[in-house]
Amino acid sequence: MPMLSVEVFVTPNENERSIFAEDAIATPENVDSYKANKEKAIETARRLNLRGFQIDNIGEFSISVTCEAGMFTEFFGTDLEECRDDVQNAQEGTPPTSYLAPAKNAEWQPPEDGGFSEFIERAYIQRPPILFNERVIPPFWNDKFRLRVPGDVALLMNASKVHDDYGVAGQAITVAMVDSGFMHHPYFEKMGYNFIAIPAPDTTRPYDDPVGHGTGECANLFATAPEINFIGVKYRNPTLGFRTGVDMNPHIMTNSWGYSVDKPNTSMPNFLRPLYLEVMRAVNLGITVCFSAGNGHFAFPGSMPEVISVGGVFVDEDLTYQASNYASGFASTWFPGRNVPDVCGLVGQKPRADYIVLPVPEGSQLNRQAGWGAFSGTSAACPMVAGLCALMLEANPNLGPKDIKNFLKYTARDITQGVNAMGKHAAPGPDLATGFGLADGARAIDAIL
Amino acid sequence: MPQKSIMFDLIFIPESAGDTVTPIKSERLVRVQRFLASKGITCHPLSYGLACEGSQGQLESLLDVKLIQNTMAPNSPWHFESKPILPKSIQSEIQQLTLTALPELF
Repeated sequence: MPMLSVEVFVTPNENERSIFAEDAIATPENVDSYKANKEKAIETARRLNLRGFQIDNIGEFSISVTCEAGMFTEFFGTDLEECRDDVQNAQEGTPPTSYLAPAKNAEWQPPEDGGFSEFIERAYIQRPPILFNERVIPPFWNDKFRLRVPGDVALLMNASKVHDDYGVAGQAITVAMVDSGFMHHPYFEKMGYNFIAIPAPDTTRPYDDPVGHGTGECANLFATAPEINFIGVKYRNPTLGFRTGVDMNPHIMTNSWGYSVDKPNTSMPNFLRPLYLEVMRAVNLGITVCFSAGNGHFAFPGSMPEVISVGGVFVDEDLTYQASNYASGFASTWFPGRNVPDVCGLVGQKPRADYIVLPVPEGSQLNRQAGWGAFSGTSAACPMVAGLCALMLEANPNLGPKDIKNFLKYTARDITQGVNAMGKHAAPGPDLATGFGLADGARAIDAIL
Repeated sequence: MPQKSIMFDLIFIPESAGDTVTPIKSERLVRVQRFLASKGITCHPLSYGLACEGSQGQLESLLDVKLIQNTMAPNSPWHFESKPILPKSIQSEIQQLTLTALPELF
């Protein structure tokens, strides 16, 4: 039998005001005049309790009670019907919520016996409110072709096959991600991901993500490696944020940010040396470090030879694979012989690369609707590839950063079509458009087992 | 109104000449950290130096230099008008001082 939450209003005495009177206007100044008579409210609650109602609270304006639906219909002589909220039902993906309410034109009267009509003015069943929060699963937006997490991303990165055929999903592998903040989105909750966020020492509130970037991008990581232990590090000073990630002793670090500085005829400015040293140290400690190659940027640290540099491949609805015209690929000036990227993840096309539907905090910069946004870039590609690194490490914990990079490169799916953001054409074999191509989870695992 | 904080990074002189692998000993970091804290500067240790922040006034007084704001460059909004001068008591520890620039999210 369903239980009902009911607010009961006590009948006002002659000199008292009723909020249900036709001329009633409550304002902050006069609201006290609508308070229930205290003695009468207590007596009403006592009588209701004697009739089996559970008294939850005697408030200043009404009494909160709980009762079975049957008790309500019997006591007030009314019929109830099941109702649904149209707005809530209209939101695709939201489970329908129903509630009981008095039927249209139904009788309603407190019982004569016990003098209840003198005590009870009105009683209202409280409907469940609509929660205007983030939706739990990615929505379908029909304006263009997009990928959804986790399924589409896992499938195209060939990670689903690893999860299904080998039972390898990143278990016991710790991946740290340094970014704008990490909201514990209901989607992560529903998927059962292992998720914590910590602040770098110069910041606070790691679960606040006003941009939505960190929250969204880590969904790409979970898509390829759903069983990892994830540590999100919210940063202000990027060097300190990175160092904080290293201190958590992760197996892998994924970084969807950088500086557009490794340009022809330049050398490394001094302000980047602290970060350069920290990244180098992380690799020396045995951490596999992934960085985005940039979206038309000459990205550093993505150009460091020690990191796995991740570019972009676009897959359209006909399953045609081509270099993304949004993603970077270039020959480093600072590190001669270094070609960026090493391998690719999935990235949309210009002008906005709004390709992957990702969870974000409602109200964040990247929010499009109800806690979901549509974006990509090499920011999205990098954690996808980091997830594949986690699968490889679970399959063979003895692999070092160099081994992982090499296996990823030599098992990647060669991309032979398309032009990247720098105008570099994809062609058979490694090239500056997509490096060695789209990273392939199943082929990498097959190679190491 | 409180002044906006400005972030800067210090790289220490290596433990031995040419050694860019061994992290800096924490006693050296703490000594400089304490000195800077006495000037109102907040510092956090890095492997090879300190990540610091303070107000414009604190930095100008510490480094005997004027800071110029460039609102057109949101990721690196400050620069020095002339060469900053480190206080004598920490000069022997510091190889490089740079203002922190924020990265782009890709």
